[in-house]
Amino acid sequence: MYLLLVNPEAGNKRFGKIKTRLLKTLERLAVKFSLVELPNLVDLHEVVSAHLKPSTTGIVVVGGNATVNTVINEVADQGVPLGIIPVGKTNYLAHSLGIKNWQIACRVLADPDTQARRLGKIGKHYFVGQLEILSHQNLLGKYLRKESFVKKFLGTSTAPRRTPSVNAEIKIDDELQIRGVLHKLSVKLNDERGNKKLRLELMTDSSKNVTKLWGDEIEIEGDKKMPVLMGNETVAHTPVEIKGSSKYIDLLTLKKPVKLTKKPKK
Amino acid sequence: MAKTRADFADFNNPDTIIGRGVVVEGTLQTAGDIQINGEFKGKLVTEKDVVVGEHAIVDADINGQNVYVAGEVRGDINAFEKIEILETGKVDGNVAASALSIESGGILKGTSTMHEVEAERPETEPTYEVQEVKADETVEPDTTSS
Repeated sequence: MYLLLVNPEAGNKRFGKIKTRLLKTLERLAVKFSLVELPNLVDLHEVVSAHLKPSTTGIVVVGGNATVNTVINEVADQGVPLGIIPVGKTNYLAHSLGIKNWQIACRVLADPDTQARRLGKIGKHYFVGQLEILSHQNLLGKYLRKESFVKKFLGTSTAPRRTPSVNAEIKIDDELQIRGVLHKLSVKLNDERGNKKLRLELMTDSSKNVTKLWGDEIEIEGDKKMPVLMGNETVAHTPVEIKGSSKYIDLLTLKKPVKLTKKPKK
Repeated sequence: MAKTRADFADFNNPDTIIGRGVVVEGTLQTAGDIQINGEFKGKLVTEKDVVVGEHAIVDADINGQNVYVAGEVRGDINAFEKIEILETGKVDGNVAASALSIESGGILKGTSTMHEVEAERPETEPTYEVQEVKADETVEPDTTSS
């Protein structure tokens, strides 16, 4: 029996639009579940404590990135496998597991495989996979670079200005101190068992100029605040402390890659 | 075989790289290859190879298996196998290795010490083998060989 935790607000209240179809699909696939709606993620701890039973085979999050991250923090210590039904605008973790839509997620729940993924900690929160830290200017630059088609057609479009980067200071395990102009920084968890090291890749001016280092604890700060992104979602801001953890979480995944095809119209 | 300049551009995809424009201070201890293209101050220890790129400035003692210097090193280098100072390389410190090469243009300001290498012993085939003989058995002399 799965415990489905639904965020009805995720992805512009998308759950409401697919609710009937989703429940019918789960019923058709003989998936047993109990469903709890969580309009307020603050009550998560109480909800999980009240509904988690010995017969619960997995906790399934129905929502986007924000809901998944919040639930991971709650589930990390419970030892229960975690499933995801992506209904939000973005769901980085579900996509990385090959679960691209709610239909595939239903198939996963009917015939699941489990994949252990290492957990990292950013501040007090857990994360899975990879984090990216970009300078504000770069994020803003993405929007500013969207020039009008008319300007481009008339040839009056200006070349994109080189966005200034942030002077950053990074400490690794209290042993190394790194100073440089940060353009982009990625922190990836090492999935190798027994090795909780984090892989840090710092890009200064261009992608060819990379600094690669390893560490268990990384402290990052800059002369300006920088967002820390997981997928497309901002999970924190600098100054920030990122740690590799020896903890794992079991994620429900596909046994084989599934390709869904539309039924031909009669 | 000595590495060419082109090899330094992509050095076997090293585990640790310090890029240009980045300043790193402290103790860097790793089991993999290290490539430095930026600035490093402190101590550098690895079980594998170290490459100091053409624009790199290293103010540290280096310990590694092979050390290739195309940039500037201020400190002692101790290589288990080989140290190569390339034409653009400059070392201001003492070096110790089993083999040392300095290209024309390369600078070494310091002393060099060579590690002693144990001479290889040639393998020899046994000229005879001793057969185990039980107490109550007698060994027949081999009459087939002349």
